[in-house]
Amino acid sequence: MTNQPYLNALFALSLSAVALSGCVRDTTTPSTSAPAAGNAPTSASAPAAGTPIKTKGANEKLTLALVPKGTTHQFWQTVKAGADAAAKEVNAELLYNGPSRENSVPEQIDIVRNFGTQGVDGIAVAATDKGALVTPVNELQEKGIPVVVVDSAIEPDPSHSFIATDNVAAARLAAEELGRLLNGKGKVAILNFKKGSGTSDEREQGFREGIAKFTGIQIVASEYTESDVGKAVSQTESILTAHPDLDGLFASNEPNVIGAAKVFDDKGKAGKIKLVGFDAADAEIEGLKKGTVDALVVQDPFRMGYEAVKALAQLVRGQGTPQKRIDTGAKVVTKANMETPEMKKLLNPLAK
Amino acid sequence: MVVMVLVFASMAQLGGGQASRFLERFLSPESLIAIGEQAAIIVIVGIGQTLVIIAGGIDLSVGSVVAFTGTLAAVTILRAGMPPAVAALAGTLAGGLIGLFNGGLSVKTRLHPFIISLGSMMIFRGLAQWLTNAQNTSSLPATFTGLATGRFPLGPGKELVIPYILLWYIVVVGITTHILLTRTRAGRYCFAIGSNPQSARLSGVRADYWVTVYFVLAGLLFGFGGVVQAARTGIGEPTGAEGMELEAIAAAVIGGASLSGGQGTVGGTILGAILMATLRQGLRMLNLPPYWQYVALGTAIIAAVIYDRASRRHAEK
Repeated sequence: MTNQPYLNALFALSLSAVALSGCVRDTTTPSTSAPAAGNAPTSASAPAAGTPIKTKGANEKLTLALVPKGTTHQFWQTVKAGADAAAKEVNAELLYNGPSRENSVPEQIDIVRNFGTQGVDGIAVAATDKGALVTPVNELQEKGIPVVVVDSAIEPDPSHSFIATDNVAAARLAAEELGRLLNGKGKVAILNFKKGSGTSDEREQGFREGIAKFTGIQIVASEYTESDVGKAVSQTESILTAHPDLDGLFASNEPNVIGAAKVFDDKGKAGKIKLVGFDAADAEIEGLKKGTVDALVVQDPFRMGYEAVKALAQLVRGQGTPQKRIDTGAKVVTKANMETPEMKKLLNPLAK
Repeated sequence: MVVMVLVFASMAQLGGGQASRFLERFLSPESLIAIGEQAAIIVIVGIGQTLVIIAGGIDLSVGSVVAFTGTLAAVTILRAGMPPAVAALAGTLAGGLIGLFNGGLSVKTRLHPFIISLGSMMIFRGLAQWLTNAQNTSSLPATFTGLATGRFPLGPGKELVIPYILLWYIVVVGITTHILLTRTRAGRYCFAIGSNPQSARLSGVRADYWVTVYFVLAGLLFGFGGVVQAARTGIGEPTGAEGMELEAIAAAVIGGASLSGGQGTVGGTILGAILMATLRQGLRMLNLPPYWQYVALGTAIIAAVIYDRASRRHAEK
């Protein structure tokens, strides 16, 4: 009789343990990965030590897959739009599936493996984790299915091409913009999204490098938000409480910009604390117009998707090898330049 | 309370030489208000969870329901063009309906609510994403986000201001549910059913009916929590609030609720939620790396519960 409730409690606790371990997956780096591929990421020669790519004729329709880091953010919809555009040009059908949350490394691994068994001709993947995706990518290439990596890197990278913004360089642009806005002095904070994610770490690195040039600027806080707007809100509030004299903040992706801008707006700090961020979701562009966001480093996700599909088609049709590293570029968008045709296209690539 | 003091003291220790400067800032009015505001949503959903736990159940769908109802409120405004008040009501009522689903189904099927709410956790996470095609919505109007900021624009230059609105939620929800639990027949039944459902039934309590009622009340609170979460973040975020069910359970348990039912208080849960927010704020202000924040929070939860149980056993002797 009395045992029953305790069993229930135990069950509950074991479940919470499972759930919690899912939250702190950051550091999963299976070092046993990449058995055969000994090629350094820098090697210019395409990888695939072993299985040749299963090629198809010039007139056969291809089936290609795109696996984003998450399906929630507009960024990935734009990558998909670029991929769709290229798929039309190269006569391919594009399958699209990814984890619903950017944190979900195991879910993404399953999705990638499933595409492999479905018999697609090539896969483009944006890695949720630098290390964890190496093994599944190797497995696919051993089956003769070529892989290109978009946006977020894997290490070591056995894939045929890495198509992404140079995030270190782009974050340096953000640092320069923030330094300029602050006239080279003040206290700034960083909102990162996930330790262990290539993009997050590179942007932090680039921002720190860029800000180091301003000797009058001090980085007083650096937090992680798991790409959750609610967490970005409370992290920003905590940073403000700890550092009421904060002068600037660098928010390294969409949920962080949205969360920080909301807090600054609510607390009457908009414009007073300079906010420089990444990406260009609707809510972020609204912030730029309203003045709660000072500048956005905008990547070219449309081009990422486009180049990825082009590269895959090239490989599968046996028409040569794509460059090992394709930089898709980044621009700083401010209220002042957001209406220029060039920036408009970058901000709203989905507009017809 | 003793635990809180201990926590403060150990934080000061960690702060080392800068301890006094840290404490000064940590205990500043702005900081304490921020802690209360950050705890508000966990208090709201934690109280809902407490009602269910006292009645002998558990609800694992909290995080998903918060995401679903918040996103529902957001699309009610952004896509259906309804006024913010309607959206807030829709979100809250949707939460109540989900509570009816969870409670009613587990009563009818005699399955533990653990199982039913585990299912609805996934169902409503999926439906939340379906609502917006798995994307974050665009920004919500100030007339809606006022539910978290306390500033409601009434027209050009005019504003209705309710200072510390998030703290008021704690007060209002806390007092209402406290009275419900301690001063009404419904409250007595809740404890009776939770501690011993058989004898409650034998003494003529319609246990199934009351369990369902408590799930609905909890659901309304989860729905309201979702609405406030959307107001606070300023968007509908279908993937947000993940794991919030565990924070709600932690708040209730730290506050003295027993997962075997029949025990728990509203005041305890409020303290539990505030304790967690306090710790989190303190750890962030100490600039501790995020992984240590997890370790510290988990340790504090276990320590708080052990301390609570030990002091209660002591009191009973």
